[in-house]
Amino acid sequence: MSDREDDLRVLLDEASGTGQDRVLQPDDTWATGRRRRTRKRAGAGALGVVALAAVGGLVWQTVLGGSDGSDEIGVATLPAGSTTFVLAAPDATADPPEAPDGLQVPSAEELEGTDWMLRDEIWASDQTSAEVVGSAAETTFSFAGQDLPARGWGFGADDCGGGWFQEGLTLTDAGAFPPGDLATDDQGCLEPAQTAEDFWIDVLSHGGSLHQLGDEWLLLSVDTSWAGVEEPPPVSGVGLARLDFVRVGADPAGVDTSLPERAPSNEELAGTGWTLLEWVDGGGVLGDLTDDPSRLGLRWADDFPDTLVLAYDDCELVTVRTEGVDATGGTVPAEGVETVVEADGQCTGAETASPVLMEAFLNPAQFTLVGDDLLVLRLSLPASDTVRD
Amino acid sequence: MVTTDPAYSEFVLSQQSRLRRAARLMCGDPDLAEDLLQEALVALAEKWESVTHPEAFVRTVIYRQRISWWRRSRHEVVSDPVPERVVGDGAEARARDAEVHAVLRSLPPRQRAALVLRYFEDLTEAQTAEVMGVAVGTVKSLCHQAVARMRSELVAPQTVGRDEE
Repeated sequence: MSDREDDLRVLLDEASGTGQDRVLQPDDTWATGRRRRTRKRAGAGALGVVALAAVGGLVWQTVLGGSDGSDEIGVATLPAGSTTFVLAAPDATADPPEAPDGLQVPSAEELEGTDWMLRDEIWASDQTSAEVVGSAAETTFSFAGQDLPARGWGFGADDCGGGWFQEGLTLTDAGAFPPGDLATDDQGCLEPAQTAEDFWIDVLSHGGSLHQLGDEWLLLSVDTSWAGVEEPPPVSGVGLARLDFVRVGADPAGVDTSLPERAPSNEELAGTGWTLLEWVDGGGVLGDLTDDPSRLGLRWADDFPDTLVLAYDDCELVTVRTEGVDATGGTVPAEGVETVVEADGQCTGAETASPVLMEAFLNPAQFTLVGDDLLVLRLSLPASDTVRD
Repeated sequence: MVTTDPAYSEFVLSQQSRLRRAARLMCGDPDLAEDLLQEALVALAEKWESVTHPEAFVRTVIYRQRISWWRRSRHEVVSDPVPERVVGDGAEARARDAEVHAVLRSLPPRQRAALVLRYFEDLTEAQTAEVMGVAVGTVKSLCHQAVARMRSELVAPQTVGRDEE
């Protein structure tokens, strides 16, 4: 531990006060918590359909989940790197199994009209769902059926907060459901429901996967790192560009664009190279800069965080000295941007493109990953006639 | 009559002071911090039998609730500085504490939480990542940015976390 880190610790320690100017009595918080627990247990028999109905104004029929196994789509495995929550059918009595024997991908049709309660257990973890979500709200997931008044699926928390996809559930052969927007309304719920609502909307909107274990258990795998993360800015308007790069050596046809978009870590970017696959340059700015944007490439230095280089064929258009990416993939900050283009006529158009890209990287650019092989770069491209010398 | 679990009582009485201080650093408002802590302790009572790590649970609840409240308010509560300990005549210490809180308030909630968990609660990067539900790399990034801001905004910036570089 360094002396300077100690200095920071001392500053925080002193600024936090003593913490002893108030006292919470454990008997009071205990009594409140246990009353809340008792009330929820008494209401649990009604199951949380009411929650979603309250949120969405929907009346969803409660039908027990279950499958005779005849509609098994395929034996499946849980996705690596995700947090897997355990959901129980209303009549589940035992503890969830410890081994995923018989794990399968349910069909969306099988889930129609079913409701599932979020359990405390997290699959293959010693954490509980309340510890991960940060809320003790009773949470129910419900799937509407084709014959019901509403399509879609979603969750309700403490019979108040909730969110739902307005489109019907679709699952890939691997059990993945796509990212999408969840509808909700803000009813001013009590705190546990509010926190749970925010958490689930954040993570579910980035997709995930569903697997079933027998008739009683549904496993919901999501990337919890999306909780609390502000959304990447949409690409719209003149000059706002989105560049999708594919990893050098990866098969573009094999890139699964349905995977959730996430912020990369610096370690994931170090030493990688990328070539442009698709782009949206919001007004043709990028097309004005280069004859063929698909010849743009990007590489991160091995000794990252240090530099990233945007090149056109072999011409390095711009070199960005950055301190890496932040939690939302934003470059931190572009402290040094330089062009290394030599005016020798070998790099056609580079003299125009380089200053524009340089200017663009002076504003934080944002990188996100889709799966492992698709890197999305968002940046604001100024018109070339506005770029300062 | 509800009988309080003795282990719960012991936890609340022994830990609330430190948890309160962490909550104050996270939100910068003593009253809001008290509400955060109280709600987290109520949630702990509700889930007491299934919670294996009470401290981690309470920290996570405080963190998630703080994010949720910030989302809904979209602005920071500007309030009086947190009551500070008195050292000497206290004027210099109060001024420095107010300055620290002002910089903390200027940080985005996730950066602030990462900073408090790492440098006040003394959690490891892995433990901080677990509380926040993010990757260790994200914690590194958040702390890096937060320390950089603290360093640049505070008077005598050369004394703050320089070895983060």
